[in-house]
Amino acid sequence: MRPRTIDLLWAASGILAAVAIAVTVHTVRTLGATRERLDARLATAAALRMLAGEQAAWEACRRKLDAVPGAKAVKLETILRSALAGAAPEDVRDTAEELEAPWRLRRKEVVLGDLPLERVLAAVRQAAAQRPPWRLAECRIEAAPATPGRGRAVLVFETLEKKREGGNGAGYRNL
Amino acid sequence: MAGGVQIPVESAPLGGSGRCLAVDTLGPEPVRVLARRRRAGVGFRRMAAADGVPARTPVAAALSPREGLTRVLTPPFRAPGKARRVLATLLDIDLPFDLDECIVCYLDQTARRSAPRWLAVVGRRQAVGERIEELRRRDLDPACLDHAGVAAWTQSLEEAPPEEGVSAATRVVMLLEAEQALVSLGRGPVFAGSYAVREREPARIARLVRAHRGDGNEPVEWVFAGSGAADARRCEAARSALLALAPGTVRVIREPETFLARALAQRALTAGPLRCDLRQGEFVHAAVARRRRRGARRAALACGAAALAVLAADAAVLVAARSRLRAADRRIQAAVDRLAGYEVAARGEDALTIVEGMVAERRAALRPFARMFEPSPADLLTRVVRVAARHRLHLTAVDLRDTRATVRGTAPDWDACEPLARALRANGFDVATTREERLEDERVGFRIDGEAAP
Repeated sequence: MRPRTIDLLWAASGILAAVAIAVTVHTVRTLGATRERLDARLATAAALRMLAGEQAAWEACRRKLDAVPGAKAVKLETILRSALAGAAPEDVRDTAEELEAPWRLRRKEVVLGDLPLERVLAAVRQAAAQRPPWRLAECRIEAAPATPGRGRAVLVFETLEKKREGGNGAGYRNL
Repeated sequence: MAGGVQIPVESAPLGGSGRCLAVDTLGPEPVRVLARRRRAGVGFRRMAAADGVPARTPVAAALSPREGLTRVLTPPFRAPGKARRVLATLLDIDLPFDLDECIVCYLDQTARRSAPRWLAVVGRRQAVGERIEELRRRDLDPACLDHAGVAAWTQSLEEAPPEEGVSAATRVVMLLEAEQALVSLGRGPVFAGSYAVREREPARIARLVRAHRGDGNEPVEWVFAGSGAADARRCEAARSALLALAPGTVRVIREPETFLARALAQRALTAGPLRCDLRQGEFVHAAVARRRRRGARRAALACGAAALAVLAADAAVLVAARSRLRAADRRIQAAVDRLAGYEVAARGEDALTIVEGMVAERRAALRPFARMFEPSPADLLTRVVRVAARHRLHLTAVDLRDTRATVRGTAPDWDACEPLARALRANGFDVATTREERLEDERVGFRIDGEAAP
């Protein structure tokens, strides 16, 4: 091999080495940025997995309720009359919110006058024990100043109602 | 090296070769030694003149001090790179002939913590060419052309290292040949000069020794070698004459006839101090030039291959990183599609924004269904009433919802409301308790506010 050829070889090797150094520097910088992007993506993937898990759990709740055949629930007023030994609520306000078909959310705000708290608790427990249940969503109880163990209560119950198949808009049944 | 004084190590002129044939032509008959590099040192075998040169065996020979001279240079710079730049100028001043007519080896022999000291081994181009031609005529084309005086000096240090306590003494190596003697002088491992003298000129030898010895009183370490040293009578005569001139000790090298050939072989094959090769420039041996070119080509190819390997590694790393990013993107897109319930056309942040909106909407729609399966405030109400009864708390107001709770009342003492706060905490509320001054009945009013923990 002639000296000229060796010089050319060295020149080519030198250029290659310079390119290799430049590419390595670029690679190191790129790796740093890639690491950050990858970490961000992994965090996003984890957040999405968590969201999906929660949504799946909620969808499962919905499916469970869909599977309920829809036995007619006891009316809340009946439960209250039974638990409160005939005492009637001072006021009952009934509201409804349309959910995804065929569902509707029923809320009843019940105002109970001066009553023994034990009875109020019994009424709440009885309502919750129904199948389907009347779930207590809120409760505000104020004790009567003069008579311990008694008080006034505002209870908000809620339940879901399923529309009867083939019925008109008002044909919901309580679940 | 002697006495712990270190001087720089040079590479071996025939370092790429495992063996060589060294030829000493100072005497009337050339002395040939076949040397082979071994794991520990070099092995020598004397060869007859009729044996010829074994195949693929480079030849190492030397210029005598009559053909090549040595000069000690003391540049003002310690750094070898800077020192080298002024050596030619210093030598040019000192040389009796034109430097351009010469081939020069500059050898660094600066000892640690000493002033810079270099050795110039000089051979006139004409002498070098004639020596090579003469050896070629004998079928001994030398691949390496050393200097006999320097070779004798370094080999004497190898084979007869200075004795303990006299490592810095003046040493004179006498290579006794047929009619003449080759004298190499120095101190410790540091070479000072080399001369060819007649053995019957003891006065000249004495002058040389005095010139190098310094104060003139310290003992001299005489080392005898060469074919004359094998002759006991001649050796004894030289010993008597020289000790009378400069007292000291005399050591005779073993197998003195092959000493110079061994020195040339040792220096050609192994790295060490003061290695030199005067076959330079236009005199470079074809095989050596080929080997150097081969070495240069291999080094260039190795450099290129290493650069290519680095590039390949970079590419692999980049591809792997991009592939991991793409895999993460695919996982995210799959999760997005799963959440959306269809294949979302948008990608990246847009897809995330779309799906987050959809999820929020879906969660709002599903919230009432999920709430039916969550614990209701009824359970908490039961627990609040039970805790209040157990700790004699009088509750005046209770407000419980899914997201917040407030309980007010009075307690028999300061800490009695704490179990109630604990009960709220156990139900997932962040709780703040406020207490009031004691009332007339000595009870402590309290208010516990709870917010559903996020």
